[in-house]
Amino acid sequence: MEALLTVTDLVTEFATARGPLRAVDGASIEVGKGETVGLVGESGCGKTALGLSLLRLIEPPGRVAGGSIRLEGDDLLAKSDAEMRRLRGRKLSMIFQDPTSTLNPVVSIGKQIAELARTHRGTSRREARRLAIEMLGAVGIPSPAQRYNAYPHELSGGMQQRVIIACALLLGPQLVVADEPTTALDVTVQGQILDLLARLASGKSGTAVVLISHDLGVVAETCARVYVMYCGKVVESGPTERLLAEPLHPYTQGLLASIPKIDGNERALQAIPGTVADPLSPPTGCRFNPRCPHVMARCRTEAPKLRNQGGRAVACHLYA
Amino acid sequence: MPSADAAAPALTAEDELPRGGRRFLRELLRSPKGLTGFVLVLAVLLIALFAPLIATNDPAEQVITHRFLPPVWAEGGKWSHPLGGDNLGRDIFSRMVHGTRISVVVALIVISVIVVFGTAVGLASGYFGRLVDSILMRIVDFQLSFPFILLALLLLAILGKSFWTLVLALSVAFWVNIARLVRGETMRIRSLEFVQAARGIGVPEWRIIAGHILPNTLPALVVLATLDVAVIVLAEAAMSFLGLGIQPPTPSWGTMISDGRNYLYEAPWMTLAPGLGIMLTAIGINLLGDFLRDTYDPRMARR
Amino acid sequence: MTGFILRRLVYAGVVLVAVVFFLAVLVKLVPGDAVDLMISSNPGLTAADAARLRTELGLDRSAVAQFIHYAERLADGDFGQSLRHGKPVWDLLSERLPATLELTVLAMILALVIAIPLGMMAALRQGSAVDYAATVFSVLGVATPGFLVGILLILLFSVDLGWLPPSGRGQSLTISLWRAIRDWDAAVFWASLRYYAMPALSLALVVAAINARLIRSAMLEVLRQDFVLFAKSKGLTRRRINFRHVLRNALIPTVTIIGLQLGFLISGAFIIENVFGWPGLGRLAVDAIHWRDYPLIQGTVLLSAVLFVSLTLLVDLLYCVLDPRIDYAKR
Repeated sequence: MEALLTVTDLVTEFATARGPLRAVDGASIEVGKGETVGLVGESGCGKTALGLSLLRLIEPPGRVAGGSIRLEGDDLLAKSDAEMRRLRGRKLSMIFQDPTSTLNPVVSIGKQIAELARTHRGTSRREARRLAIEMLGAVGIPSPAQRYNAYPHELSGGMQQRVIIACALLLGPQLVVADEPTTALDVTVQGQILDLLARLASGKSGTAVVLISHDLGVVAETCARVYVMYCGKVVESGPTERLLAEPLHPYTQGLLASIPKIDGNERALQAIPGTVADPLSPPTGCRFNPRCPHVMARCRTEAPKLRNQGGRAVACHLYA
Repeated sequence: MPSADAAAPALTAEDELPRGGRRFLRELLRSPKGLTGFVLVLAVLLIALFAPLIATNDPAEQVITHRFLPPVWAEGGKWSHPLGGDNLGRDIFSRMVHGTRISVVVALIVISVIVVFGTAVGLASGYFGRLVDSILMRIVDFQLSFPFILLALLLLAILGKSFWTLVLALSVAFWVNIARLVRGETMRIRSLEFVQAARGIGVPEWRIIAGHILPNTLPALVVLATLDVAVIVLAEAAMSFLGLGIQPPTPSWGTMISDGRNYLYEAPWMTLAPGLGIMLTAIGINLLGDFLRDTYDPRMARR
Repeated sequence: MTGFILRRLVYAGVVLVAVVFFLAVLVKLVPGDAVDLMISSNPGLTAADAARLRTELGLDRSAVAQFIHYAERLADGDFGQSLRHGKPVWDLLSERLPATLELTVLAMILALVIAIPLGMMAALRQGSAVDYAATVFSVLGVATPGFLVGILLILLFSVDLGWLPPSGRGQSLTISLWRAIRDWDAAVFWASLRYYAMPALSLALVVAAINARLIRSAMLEVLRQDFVLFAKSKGLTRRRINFRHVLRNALIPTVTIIGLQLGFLISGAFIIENVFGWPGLGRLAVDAIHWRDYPLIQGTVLLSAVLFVSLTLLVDLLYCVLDPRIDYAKR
């Protein structure tokens, strides 16, 4: 499949009182046109930082310190601020985690959608309003024309997220980064939102989606391929079904094992021992080594490289 | 959780707050702001304390030949009267120095009164809550934004102009902020685990308040009290300027400015000297207060 | 929204009733004989006046009766008779009120015109020269009493430069503004403004200095919010983000800040009036204290309280306009 987005060795760091913190430490991912790709990991693994880096929304004290992000061959990191601004909302957009705090509380939801058309296409107020109402309908908001003037606080969380999706997809972007789009929502609503997103992304000319989540279940439903991140690096990747059926990296195995199963006979929840590594001073060698059940001497000194194995990739000495 | 923050590093345990005299000095020496403030405040306190030794001339003595005597750096000035003479021939420098004493005394008395009273009210309100709290807080809310001058005018109308009326007026105007802060802190601390634990094992209420809650309100209280001193100094100056505060012949910076107001052409230094005195004092106190806030009240420091 | 406004109105009413009560009753607390003190300060008064005063002030009655008596008199429009001036208090008050009102409003407008852009720029360009200048301005402004600023301005613009009159009010600014528009002649307005400039500016500078810092903080708070990041992700122009998203939200805490400043503003106006010989309530009140003119003091404080409460209500109304969430949040 033709690659729409190619991220190579991305490094994103934040200046802290105790030295630079590399939230993303040499991660590479690829997204094809119209493909939905998952980015999975625990909190603090760098997945959100990666997502924000794609739109160059990292602000001081953070910065993208290395690597490249190519959208259809074009290096986004080389672009000026003005050029990036024109791309955002139009070719690249983002959906955030908490819809209640993502929408501007003092502006009507309709206007928050319409302003995209007005800014990027210079459409008239009336036309932009029409487009916004149309989009509100497309995301499943009932009586969109009436709801145009509603304020965010008048809507439920699920509805608010739909509005945000409307914003993200209004101008038919090539790539949408969805950062934990359902985490803040009720379980019952989660499925609806994911379905909506999948439906809208597959329609038209196919919008690629990078779905960031800590929840493997969410990713399993919607993504064709998955990247697993740990401590700023990609540790495993591959087609979702195969990866979930046969996880290679011990971390992925641990993640899957820790999901409680309804049909299982387990008595105790299986957690991955230890705590997430401190990103300011990660362990030497393989960062997962303190918690790995298969740790070897080599793991403590040498960081494993991501190796391809027939459509799948894994960074682990077990497979070297 | 804001998405942007989730991307930023999660900071581990907050740095320990400096405790003890030595650490205070260390922090102080590291902060230009704190140091400047501290030096200014110390200077004011010392001048106030040693006033008669510093200014040997009698501040109330009127010498006709010294009327509008220019300051020492201007033509005709004398070293014996470095800041010159006012419209009645009194030594401005001497009045400045003695005025410092008055301002300091008033400020210290008022701050003591409001700290004691405000803390008591705040503790009671925050700890016992419910009815006591709602009544007290209604009063506080009302007074908080009410123009202080109106309260002062009323008190003056009833009790007449005097030193103690001034102290009372200032106290009444400014106790509210302290009460509100202490109440907030008390409520916050009260719900902390170690207090719950103490209540659980039956420690008597007054002991909890005195031994656990009060000490923990001190950092924020000290910061607010310091900043309030500046406000009190300014308010006293304003009242004295209007003739409603310190009564002549006692010198006060406010009265000096009021005296000088009519002679701006002939003797601008009559006004500028006390004006500068007020400003430096207030700036010093504010800087010190800001430094204390940065050091001891970490919640506010993240700006 | 109506619930909110209703609550504020009731609260305002309660405040005013409390003020009336205190004004009526407080005279009892005067050490010694209040009326004797007043008479001795105002030589022109006779024994008949003293007797009248005693009944008027209700000194022989209980507190509650005093309060009711005073309230009744107020309802009749009777604010009492000024001891010093020998005129009805109401006449004096209505003469002076416009001056104080104009000064206060003009100062508030000026303060906002200075503080909002300053605070906004300081927040948007954190750490820059503007930010530093704003901080210095704040530090100085908080430490300088308003009356000192006034005197310094007089020193500069009246004594040294001779551009502006050091005291007095001239013609009412509102009237001269209206005349200027009607006759299309700006000179009338400027002539009037010359008197208002320094008093309003002295008050405005101090208020602006306090507010600039607070507004900056409020803006920084807003800038940290998620919806700002979202707006950026939409590729909106900087201007649109700053105004429609950031400023519109920052206005809400700004209005809170203004609301809290009203008391300070009125206090300041009273003091400034005494610096500039401004014929307003402030000057009237201070004089009244000197002469122990209790009826006049009563009236002045009451009117000022009404002024304060009204302005506060206006600010609350402004809230309703700015914040669509207002009924959902408990105020």
